Amino acid sequence: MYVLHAHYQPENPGGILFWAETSDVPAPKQRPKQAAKKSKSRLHPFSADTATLKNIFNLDGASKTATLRLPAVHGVPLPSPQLVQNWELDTQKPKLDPFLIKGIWLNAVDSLPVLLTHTATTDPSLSPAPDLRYWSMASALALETLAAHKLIPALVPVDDGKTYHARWLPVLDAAKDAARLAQLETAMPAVCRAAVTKADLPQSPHMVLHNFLNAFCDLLARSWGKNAAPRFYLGADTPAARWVEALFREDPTVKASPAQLQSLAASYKAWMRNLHVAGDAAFRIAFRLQAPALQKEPWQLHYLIQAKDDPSLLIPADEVWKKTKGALTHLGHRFEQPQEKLLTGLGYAARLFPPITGSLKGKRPTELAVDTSGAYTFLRETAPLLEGAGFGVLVPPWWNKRGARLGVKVKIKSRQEAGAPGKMTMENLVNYQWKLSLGETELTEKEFKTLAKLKSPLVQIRGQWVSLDAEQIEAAIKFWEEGQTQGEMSLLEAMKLGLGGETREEAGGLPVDEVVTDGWLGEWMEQLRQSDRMEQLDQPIGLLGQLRPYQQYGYSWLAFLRKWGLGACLADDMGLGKTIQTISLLLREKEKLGKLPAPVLLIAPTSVVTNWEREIGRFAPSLQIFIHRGADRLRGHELRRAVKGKDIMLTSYPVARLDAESLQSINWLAVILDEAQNIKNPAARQTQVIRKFNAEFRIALTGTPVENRLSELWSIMHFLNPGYLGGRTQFRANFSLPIERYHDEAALKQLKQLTTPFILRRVKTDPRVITDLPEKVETKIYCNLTEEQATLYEAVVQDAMKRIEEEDGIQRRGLVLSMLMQLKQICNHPVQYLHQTRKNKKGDSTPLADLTGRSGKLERLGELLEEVLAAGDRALIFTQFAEMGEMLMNYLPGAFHAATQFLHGGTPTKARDRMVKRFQEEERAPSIFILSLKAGGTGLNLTRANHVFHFDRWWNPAVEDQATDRAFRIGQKRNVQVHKFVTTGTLEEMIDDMIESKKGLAQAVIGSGENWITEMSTDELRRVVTLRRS
Amino acid sequence: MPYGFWFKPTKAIQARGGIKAQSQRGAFAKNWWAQRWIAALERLMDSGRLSRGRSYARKGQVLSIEETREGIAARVQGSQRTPYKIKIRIAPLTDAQWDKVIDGLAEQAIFSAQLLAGEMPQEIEQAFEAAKVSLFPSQRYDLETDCSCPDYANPCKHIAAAHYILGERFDEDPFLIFRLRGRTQEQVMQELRKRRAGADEAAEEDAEEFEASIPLEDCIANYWELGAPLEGFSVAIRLPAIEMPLIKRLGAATFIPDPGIESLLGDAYQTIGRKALQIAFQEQKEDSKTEK
Repeated sequence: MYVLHAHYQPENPGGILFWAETSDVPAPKQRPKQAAKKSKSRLHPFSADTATLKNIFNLDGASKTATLRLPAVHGVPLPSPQLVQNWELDTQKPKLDPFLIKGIWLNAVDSLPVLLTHTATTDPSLSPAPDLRYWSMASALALETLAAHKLIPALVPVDDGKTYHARWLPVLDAAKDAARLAQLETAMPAVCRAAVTKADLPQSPHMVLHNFLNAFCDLLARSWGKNAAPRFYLGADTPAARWVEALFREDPTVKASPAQLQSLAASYKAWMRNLHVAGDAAFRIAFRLQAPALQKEPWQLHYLIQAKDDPSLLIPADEVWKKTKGALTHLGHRFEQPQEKLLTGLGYAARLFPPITGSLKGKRPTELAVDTSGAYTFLRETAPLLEGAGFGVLVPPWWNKRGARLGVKVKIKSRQEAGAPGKMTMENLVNYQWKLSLGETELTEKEFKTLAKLKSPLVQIRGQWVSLDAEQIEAAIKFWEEGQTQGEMSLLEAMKLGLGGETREEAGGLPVDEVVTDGWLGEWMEQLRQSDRMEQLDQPIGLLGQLRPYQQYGYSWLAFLRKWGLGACLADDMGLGKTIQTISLLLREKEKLGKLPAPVLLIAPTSVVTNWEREIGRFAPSLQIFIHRGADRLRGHELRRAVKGKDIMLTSYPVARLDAESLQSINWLAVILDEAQNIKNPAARQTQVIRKFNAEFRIALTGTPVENRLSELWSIMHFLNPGYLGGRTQFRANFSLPIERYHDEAALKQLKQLTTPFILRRVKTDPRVITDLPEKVETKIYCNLTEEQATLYEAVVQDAMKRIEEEDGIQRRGLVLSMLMQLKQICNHPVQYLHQTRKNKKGDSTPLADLTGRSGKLERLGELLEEVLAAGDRALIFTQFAEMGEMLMNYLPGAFHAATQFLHGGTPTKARDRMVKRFQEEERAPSIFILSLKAGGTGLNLTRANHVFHFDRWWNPAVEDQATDRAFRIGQKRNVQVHKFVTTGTLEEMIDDMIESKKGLAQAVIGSGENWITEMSTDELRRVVTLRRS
Repeated sequence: MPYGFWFKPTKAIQARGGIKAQSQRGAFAKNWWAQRWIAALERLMDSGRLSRGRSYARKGQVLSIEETREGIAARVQGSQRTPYKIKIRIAPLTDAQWDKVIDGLAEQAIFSAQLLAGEMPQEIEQAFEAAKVSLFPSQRYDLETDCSCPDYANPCKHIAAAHYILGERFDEDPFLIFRLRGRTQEQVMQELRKRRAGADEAAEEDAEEFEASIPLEDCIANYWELGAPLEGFSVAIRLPAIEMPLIKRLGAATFIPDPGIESLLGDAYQTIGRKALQIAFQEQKEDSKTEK
């Protein structure tokens, strides 16, 4: 794997050196004896070469180098924590040594796309380092600055004023900027300032960050603005014109004589006087307009000083005039010369709002009285100008509220009775009616005309100030005249409007104040917004098992959305019982109607289909299942006939894709997707065909945090409620990119409002869930054999049984045990049985490709681990085979980008202790700990894990429980989930059933491991081991 | 020079790298206070010399102009190879006179407010008159001038050229006249502050400015990690509600040739802003090669 780094090099011109660490090289050798040669820097031993960088990361640029000081032990730099590797490096007492880094250098313009897009890579083997993400965020800030025109042309002296450069200078002085810059400074990873410089000066985060922002803004503006550079007419060749021209040239030097430059600099300085007219980085001048209690009284405009990082800290002007010292201080910030700054600000503001001049006739001005029309001018015209200049403006709280001006209110009424909601779809039409309003108050035409006659821009109505400007009155008159005050819209549109998804909606130039829905529609909207208000249903009568309270809630929620034909995404954490909640819904549906009007199509990954079959059989045996799989599966008409009268048809994603045509021809009651992340790629054929299946309602189940993966979210939502989130391109532009790249808060908030009603996700740590959950939850994980496994399995059974029949005594016993061993190996993985591992003399592990797709069990483990890792949890995997353990240790990092460690009988005590300590204590320890059952099953304390996987089975519950207790013991604060793998149709399932059915008895009989199996009669044995293909 | 000596008209050597007046035609100063400065000179000179002085200023014959302890020192390129040295000085006010002036200025906050915002208050002359002094040179002896040229007349056209250039400096910096009268902006403001507080100013303590920077050696434990999470860090890339807000805040730049800075850079700002938006929301290149 690779970890991609970005190193900012300030050297003229600034640019980024991209380089990568790689674990695809032999382990670097530490040399403890050899004294480190101090001054000389060594080549970084595991950095990717530039050809690889070009190929893998698609970087096209010049090869360059940098010397960085990195923590190292015995001459080898310590790999960054993101790099997944199995090198046994001594990490004690690292020191900083210089290393030569080779990479690809890109200038500001070319590095931007790399910085912005490589942070969102989905390939786990190409991991972006924090330094890359850091510079990506910093360059996003530079882009914000450029997009918002927050930069000025600057004249910068260099070489003690002998030369001047023309530069584009970012000005980050908005209220939130000081806090953002401070946050970026503290967030800077140390490695970003690790460059060995000629002067060997210490580089502070502040210096490095500001150097970056200044350089990037300048270089980008210079390059992008080049084609829009102003052209001067002949004869306008003044030093000022040359300065302007130099803003767009590669060479920023302003060509003029020293006297001309000096004169230009003086003029420039005078021009810059107003740049910080409103204050500095920590404080600013603010104005507060206060409304009178009564219409006739004057308004007050107060002068204040406001702290930028704490807008509630306001110092009134009279306090400022009392200050005799030259500075104000607040929480470590100093405001130098506050009186002069206040005066400067007032002098500037007086130009924008002349009445201020009058208040300055006194010695120590603190406020100004204005009349209503003056107040209105200030609110409408002056306030935005002052805010633009950086001043704080505190207007009365009602001013920016919608109720303070004319707006409209939408009333939505349903046309149908609530009686027949089953056929409710998003296309259903509802009636709407527009009403003119002031906040929550509706206005009649007469009332409005009385108000308009007052001809005052600010009027007081029932103690509330309201603004009525000419433009709005105009719009309101048009609103009445055009009479477009009612019509119909689709439920989908109404829902979006009601959920606040489209806040910028306007009606005839007037803002939408409020959306009012009444009748069942109102109730429905209310429940959508706050699912707490939903009706709690009793669990279905036929359900074998007890729903936990949160499951009952989830099931009621599913039923509520189903009632309205809305698609629901149940995204509970793994182990919280998405399956039982879904089964409950289907069972309720059947109990309500006597029989289902059409079958439900349930699509799951191949490896989970059997699991569903078993779970439905266990909890709701009354539901009729039809499994659609196998080479000889039915198609077309035959399939339609076969599913008739069935309740649920189970199938896998690949089969659904292949048989799309047959499945599309059936009208399903519902389409349910388990592990719905399988349709995360909207362009994939699988996703597209599944979206076309006809159904009355749709459900998606997933255990991954879908709300954090926006394209996946869109694809799933598009399946559930087509059209609701808009088209894919539109969604990317409005939500994915602003949120994923730039953490855009407004976009995130809007998306949340839109999607919350349709996604239910509980995590194990939710207080409401945790009290419902037992401390230890044990689940059987049923998985299938692949065709290859099944063939091997049958061959072994046939061959071994023949020999067992012919032997008895010790020989027979040996043969039985050996057969059991082989069958278990096959269930684990064909490669384990065939001993194809470790063939390579160089010690290279079996390639990923040779392990993927050949074992149902390994596939299922992978799916579960993906969820464990996504939740940031840690897991123990027990196996009785060292060979399997090693395979997993080598396979999992590559497949899931997760570090592993493996403890087995051959692990030396010291290494063993280190592994345990690391797992328990280190933040960055491998999250997957593989243990051989014998070596790791007892004694250890591994409470950092909250998942325990029993990959293969010992058939002895006591031994397994003891192993489970490594995680489930004192010190464990979370619920522990135990996953026991069972391969269906094989001896694993047979023996598991036998143990389950006579648990009490079994303890005594099977206490000694697998020996009891050897005591079985041959017929009995044959029955146990024979493969039942389903 | 002996009286009546006749010089033949000389032609100035064309100057290179000199300071050209911003105003290339019409009136020289934009603001009333700068016009008062120009007027003070114009009263003293004949129109021929004045006109030649203006033309010198516009052609860039003034090679340098500096504030010194004694007033203004300038170098102007005339007809001789060596540029002429010029001095302009206004009689400074005495401490007592300044005290009175500042007493007057302290009465109304508007004086400080407008001066600090780069404007000369209209009523400032009244404040000076109350102290029985004048801010601008009003009499011949208020303005001392000197030039190294052979012209008998003082002020000569070289002085006039420097004076005009100086007028443009006045436009930009109302405090220049204060300095020429013997007080810097800081001195005036400090005195004003004292009067506002009505008490003697306490000694100012200087805050020590130092940059917080943890030595790299102390960062080894999490050398590669973010120093603090960036989760709450939000960036909103949008075009501005009002274009070029900073340029608008700065106001007109008098030293920029027509049609002014806002028109000159308007296209560039728009292009840069749109390009930033485009790059920000550009999709990843689809053809990115992978190892597989």
